Amino acid sequence: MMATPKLESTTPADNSTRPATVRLLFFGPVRAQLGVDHDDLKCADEMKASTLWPLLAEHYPALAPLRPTIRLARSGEFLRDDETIHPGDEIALIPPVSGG
Amino acid sequence: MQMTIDIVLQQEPLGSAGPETIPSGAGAVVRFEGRVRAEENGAIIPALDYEAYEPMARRQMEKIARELGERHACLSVRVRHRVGRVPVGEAAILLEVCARHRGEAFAFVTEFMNRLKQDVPIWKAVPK
Repeated sequence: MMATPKLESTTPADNSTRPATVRLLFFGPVRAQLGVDHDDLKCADEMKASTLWPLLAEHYPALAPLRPTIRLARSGEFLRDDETIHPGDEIALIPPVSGG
Repeated sequence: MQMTIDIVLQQEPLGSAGPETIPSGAGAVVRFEGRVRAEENGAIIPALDYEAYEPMARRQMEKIARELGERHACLSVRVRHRVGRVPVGEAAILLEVCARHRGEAFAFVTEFMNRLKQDVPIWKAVPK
């Protein structure tokens, strides 16, 4: 059973080498909205990709208007909602693209 | 014969040179250039700034090319996409496809551009 994601770890990690954050990468309109190109979100447990959204909404309320159009990606591939995100992952927020 | 795929994201202008090598058996070379227009959303602009999530952009373009190659048997695909500032009139993308016949080359180019505009993490913005 999937553990409830923790935004803030209140107890010492049982393994100090285990990452307790997810690295978020911001591009295009998302980067322009937030003013930074990356951030680290504290997250001690694995979670479904869909579960990341409430955390993003809490930490980055400015993203709310863009939320319906943003897709998540990891390792160069778009993430489905039911895929698992692990602490230490690098997750890109991909707003609508406009290349070419 | 396996289709060759050559994808580069670059700051430099794309130039106008044709394919360096044309695969033997290629009866069609279809070349598309997407150029920056002087007007964007009704406003006159001097240039566009292109930003890419480069590792993913390359990966997605290669994935799209391989998928399309299954349906449209082409011999080679060459993609060049600019990043950074691209002045009006310059090409932001070059897509060049070699195939035995024009039908599969035209189809490949059309579908690749449609997919690129949906799934390849590249963004353009009017310079501030």
